[in-house]
Amino acid sequence: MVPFYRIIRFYTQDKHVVCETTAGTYRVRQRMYELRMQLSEATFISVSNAEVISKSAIESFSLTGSGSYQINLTSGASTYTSRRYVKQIKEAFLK
Amino acid sequence: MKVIAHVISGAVIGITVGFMIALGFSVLNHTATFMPSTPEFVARFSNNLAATVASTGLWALIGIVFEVASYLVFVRSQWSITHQTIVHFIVTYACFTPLAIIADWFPVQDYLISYTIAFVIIYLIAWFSSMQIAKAKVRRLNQLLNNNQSQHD
Repeated sequence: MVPFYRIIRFYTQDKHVVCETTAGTYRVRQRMYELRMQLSEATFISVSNAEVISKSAIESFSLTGSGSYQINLTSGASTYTSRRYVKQIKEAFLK
Repeated sequence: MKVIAHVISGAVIGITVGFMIALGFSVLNHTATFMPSTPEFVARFSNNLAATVASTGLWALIGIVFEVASYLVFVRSQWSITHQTIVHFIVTYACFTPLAIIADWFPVQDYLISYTIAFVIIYLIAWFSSMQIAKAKVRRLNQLLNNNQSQHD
């Protein structure tokens, strides 16, 4: 078992859901929609159809030169979100 | 199908805008009757009614081009702003230009270049404004993120 606070994000990769943690990456059995229902909205936010991120794993947001919303993670990796999800992310931080 | 709804609303918007413009030009030029398009266009038909019917069809098609292009591009919000703007430009330029030529809005040989430049400038302005709006959103997100982190410290 991986402690909850070590989870960075969940995302789909080749039809499987994987969980990235500070201790390594694991394949999980649940589907993305199941995870969305189970995970606390106070801790995790959806950034696309295929990805849920821990709020505490977000270092900053930036806009790429071509105009994509980029999320820089504390782990040094980065991922993308879209205009549609930016609104939801904003609301998640306002709660 | 959502796209059908956009076809219908595009046609309604196109006809409304087209009619208002034609009405405006008719009033400004003090024409005796309503002119659905330029005199060259109307002259190609046996009567004014036929020209109005043809114009209405073109206005509807033009409205559909912009409405459907916008819908198809902006639902793909995972595309970058540059990608969305370029695809939207290509679709509307390729579909709207022949319709504007058929509608006799401008003599092709004389105005195609200036028309194209105007088209490009409009898209550059749209791209630039979208980028500024997105930058403001990113600033707001970072602000919220920092507030959130300082609350927990």
